[in-house]
Amino acid sequence: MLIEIRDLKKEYCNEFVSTNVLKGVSFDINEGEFVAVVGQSGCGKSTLMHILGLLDRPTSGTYSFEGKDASLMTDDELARLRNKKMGFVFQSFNLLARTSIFDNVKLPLTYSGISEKKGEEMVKKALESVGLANKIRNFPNQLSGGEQQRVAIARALINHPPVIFADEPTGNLDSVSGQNVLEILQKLNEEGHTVILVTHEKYTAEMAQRIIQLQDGRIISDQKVTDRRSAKNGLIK
Amino acid sequence: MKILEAVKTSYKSLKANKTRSALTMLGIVIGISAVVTVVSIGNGAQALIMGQFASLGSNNIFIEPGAWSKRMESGQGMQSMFEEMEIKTLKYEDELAIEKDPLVARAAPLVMGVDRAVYQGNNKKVTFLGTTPTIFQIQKADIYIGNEFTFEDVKSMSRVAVLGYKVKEDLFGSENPIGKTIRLKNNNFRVVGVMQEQGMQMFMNLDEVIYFPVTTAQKVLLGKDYLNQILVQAADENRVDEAVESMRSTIRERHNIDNPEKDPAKDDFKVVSQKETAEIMTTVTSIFTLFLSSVAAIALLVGGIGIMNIMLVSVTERTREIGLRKAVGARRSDILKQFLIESLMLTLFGGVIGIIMGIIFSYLASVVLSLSLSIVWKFDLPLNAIVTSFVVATVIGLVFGIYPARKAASLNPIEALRYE
Repeated sequence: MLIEIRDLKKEYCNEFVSTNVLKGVSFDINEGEFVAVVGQSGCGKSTLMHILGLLDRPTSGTYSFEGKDASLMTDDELARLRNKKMGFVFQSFNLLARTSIFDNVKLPLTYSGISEKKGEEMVKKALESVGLANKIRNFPNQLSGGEQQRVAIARALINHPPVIFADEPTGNLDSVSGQNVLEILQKLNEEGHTVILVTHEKYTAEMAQRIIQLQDGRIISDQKVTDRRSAKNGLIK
Repeated sequence: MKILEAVKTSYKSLKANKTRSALTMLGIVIGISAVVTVVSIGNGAQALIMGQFASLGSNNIFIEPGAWSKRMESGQGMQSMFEEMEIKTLKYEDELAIEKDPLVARAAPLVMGVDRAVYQGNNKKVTFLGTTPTIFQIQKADIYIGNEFTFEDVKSMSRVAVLGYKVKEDLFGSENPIGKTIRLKNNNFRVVGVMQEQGMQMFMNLDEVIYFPVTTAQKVLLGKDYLNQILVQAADENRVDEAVESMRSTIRERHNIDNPEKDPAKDDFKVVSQKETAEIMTTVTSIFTLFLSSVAAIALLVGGIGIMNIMLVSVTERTREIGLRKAVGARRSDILKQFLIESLMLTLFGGVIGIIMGIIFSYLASVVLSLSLSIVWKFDLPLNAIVTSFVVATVIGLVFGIYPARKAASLNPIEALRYE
């Protein structure tokens, strides 16, 4: 089992109020799955993704990644797992401004001790797989939103991580670019990556094999998608 | 993350903010170049002083009017030097008495003044010295053309003059000045000799000087009967202190000073050996250099605070970047390293530029000082200041960089990513 969470809770506190964002969530995700987490905004799906992505720790409950309890890991171990085992795609791309596409994609390699020469190869391959090999010397502000998000995907998969997290990856994109991004995610899944997609759009979610629906910090449904859409064919509005 | 990677990353992000990085470095550049320049000029001044004293030989003793004052040692020597010009206690007769001391090889009286010397259409501002022919032995000066004036001239108060080399050049050009008449303070003087080029000695350019018999200078030029100084050379280099004491008793006796406890503060004159004078001058310049260096050091400190300030701004501004770096696998130590290296690079680049500029400034200063004071001001490469400022730059980079760097490293990745 890749991901196993049991009774996961997350509570945010400030001086005045505490908010229960996750109120006990449990599920398993197997290697190679394509899971969509859906729900209205504020339902806790982003928080859930941050915890699954080891960017945040739960208030209570257990999370084991590849059979290891995340709560027992040090910050450095978490950083190492994020580096080697996970790739992140964010709604707002989060590319470094004034930094070339090459350096942006290479960023995770900086922290994984891969040689310069090998790294260069990897960056080229990653950019090729998202169809942007020709933009390697460009800068983010010279690229369209869709292209920037594809660069972000290239960055996420540069280390060949088993899991890719995508948090509303199409949220800032027009439908054509969005479709393109989703196509890539689907392709990655077919190549064996586990993809966890957070979205609030039902038709985007239907590209996954399985949809977990959250409401108010709890799971209200967790089911296989019977009519799975292909990004390539369907989905044009 | 390997150090080399971290250096590259830091370099890239500094390059991405060129103007800001340059302005931040400027503080360090100014501070370090100021320190290097000040220390270099201070060292140069000290070398000059030591050189001036060394040129005379180590057995010189100076007798000056006025009591020994603590102020001499506390760096107000210049002021008291001017006040002493008007103290009237030291007489030519004192010099004559001292000369007879067996511990004294030779002595020369000295009165000084500044005025304009005129020869036909040419005129030149000169320092004139009233003295005896012994001065040429003390100054180890040789005659270029003509003759030195004689003790006879001193006795008879002759209106004769011996010119410094530059004075002759400026007043006479290629003309032979011997036997010609120059005017000074509406009096005519016959030129009897010209000295060879001598350069600076005891901070006086001897080439721009006119020598007169001491009696002539006192009566005709200055209208006074006292001396500004007596130059003495001890007979034995190893018995300078003895000579100093012996001369003190001689003059006390002559001046009727009852001073059995031999307290120099009670005398109306002072006897200082060249060694003591050199020590005092060195102390004065050291204090001066130290004072100016501390001002420069404050500039450096301000530069350091500037770096911290900019690094803090940079951490805030790049919160999302830090969050992202953490999301893709940067550890705390990686972020810490990156920001520390950034501030270190700023200070080290700034330091190197500052040192180079400091060297250029102090070189220019040595050229300008040499030209404007017509002396040989040795350019001094202040290695100790360079090493110190390099170390200081590094320490500043670390000290003022550590706080912003820790702040960056301790950011929670998810909060950093959400930061707007």
